[in-house]
Amino acid sequence: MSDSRDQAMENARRRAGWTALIQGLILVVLMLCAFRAEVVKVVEQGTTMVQAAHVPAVPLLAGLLLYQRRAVLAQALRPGSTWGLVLIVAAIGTYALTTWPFYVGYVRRMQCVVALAGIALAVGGWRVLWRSLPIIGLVALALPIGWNTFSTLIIRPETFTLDAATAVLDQLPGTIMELRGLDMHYLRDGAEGVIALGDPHRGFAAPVAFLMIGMYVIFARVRPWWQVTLLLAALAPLMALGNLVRVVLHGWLTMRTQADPTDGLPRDASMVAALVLTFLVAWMGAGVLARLVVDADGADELQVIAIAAQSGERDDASS
Amino acid sequence: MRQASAPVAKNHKHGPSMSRPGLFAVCAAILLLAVLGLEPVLAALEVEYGKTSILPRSPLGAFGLNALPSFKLAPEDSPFLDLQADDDVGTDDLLFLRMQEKHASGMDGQIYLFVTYYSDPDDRVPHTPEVCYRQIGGIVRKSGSASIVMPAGRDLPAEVTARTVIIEQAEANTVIAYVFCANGRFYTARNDVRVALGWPGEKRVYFSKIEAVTRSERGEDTSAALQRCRRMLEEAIPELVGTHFPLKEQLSRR
Repeated sequence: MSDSRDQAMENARRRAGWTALIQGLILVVLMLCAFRAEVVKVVEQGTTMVQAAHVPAVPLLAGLLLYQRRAVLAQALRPGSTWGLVLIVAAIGTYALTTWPFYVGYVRRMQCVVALAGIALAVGGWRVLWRSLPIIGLVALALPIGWNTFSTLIIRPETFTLDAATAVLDQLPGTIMELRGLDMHYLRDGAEGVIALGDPHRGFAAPVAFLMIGMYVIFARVRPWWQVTLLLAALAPLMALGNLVRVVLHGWLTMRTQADPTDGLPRDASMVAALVLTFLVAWMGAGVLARLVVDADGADELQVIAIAAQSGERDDASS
Repeated sequence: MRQASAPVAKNHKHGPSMSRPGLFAVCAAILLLAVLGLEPVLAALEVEYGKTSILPRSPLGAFGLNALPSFKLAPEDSPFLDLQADDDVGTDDLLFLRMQEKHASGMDGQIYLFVTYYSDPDDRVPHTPEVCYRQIGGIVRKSGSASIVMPAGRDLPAEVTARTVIIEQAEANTVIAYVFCANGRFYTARNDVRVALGWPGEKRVYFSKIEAVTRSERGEDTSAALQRCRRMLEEAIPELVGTHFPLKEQLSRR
């Protein structure tokens, strides 16, 4: 009797999950069509601009996160909230206003994220929205920031990274480095040369890619909040480290091969190496923390949610 | 089945909620309306209420140097910065002057005045020096703002706030003060210019970027260079507003 009741509940939960997923997908497709002008622009930028090269990876990472968090999302499923509808309407209104008469590109672009949050809320309720925030965050990172905002944000990290990379490379035996503008000039074993970091952003759009990797690693597994907080706090230093490694490697490879300042090989090789390193550091850090919490508490967040949900079901059944 | 629906039954504390199919249908209908109607409606609104362009009262090329009593034209053979007016500034109506402080000689006290004027509402608000100079290898070392007191005059505010930037380049530091003027109002951020251009009321729009660029040797105190930039804007803005930019009443007429 109890088995068949559990089976019926499980089937109902599964059906509710699938319904929510299909409804969510339909609303996402409609949202993409409604905001098509901006979506096309983002896709174009992602496929043509070096500084937005991380954009094509976002659907894949978001899809992976959705898959890896499917159990916790299913557990969090509740009736949709009309506040989701409010968010969707607000996103459409703001999108319209920032198309005409006030054209503000980044605000207009961000309405895709607001609408996405509204869809999660309308389809699955507040808990689903809360659990979907990492996925929505990844999508937000995929939307290229305006040049002015980017420049304002990057000035300090860029200055720090270039100064630090110059100082590190200067320690190499037989090497004298000097930073002129955004280019590093070197004198090494009698050979002179320039290390130019490349595209108009001088590769300083890369931190967004490091940030995305860090976010993916943190949220690929359901963790207790103290872990998430610790790991999120570690994102900024991780991003800085990844970028510093990239610039130092770029410089070292350029000097080592005496490559032309605009040669793409040192730039691409250093970027790939820095991305792999960032992933490994984030993965190892998150792994150590995960091991600690299992040892300490004996249960992860998913188990806690499952226990809470079962207890809720029992309450509902008894009432 | 009653029991099976229990896990999705409690949600009253999180605000208003309705049955999922109903909410989904409303969301889908609204998004579908946006798919079908958003672009045509916005296009129609723009045709009906969109703002039109307005030319300057007098072209910037006719800028009177007498308006800059603290400066004289710099000698042609002594450029202190290899600065060129960009080909892709997006307008032909521009002013690009290389000046020098009245009592200075050689390369001392030289300063550029760079003004662009845009009259098409669809023109892109130009990038600011923080962005442009980074692309040619400059490092933004410091940015801030400077208040510039204006003389009493028609359509002139009592004070204009300009943005100041110090950019480290290969040879020396470049010191810049700039401000945007959109329909007679002054801003330092591009988004503020965009909002000003879209704000209801006026029927015609223009905007302009006014930029003073000078040089400061590496390691040198930049206050003298900043002061030079301020003085240039202090003298140039009244002339631009008073002689070249459209009057406020012209903006409200079609």
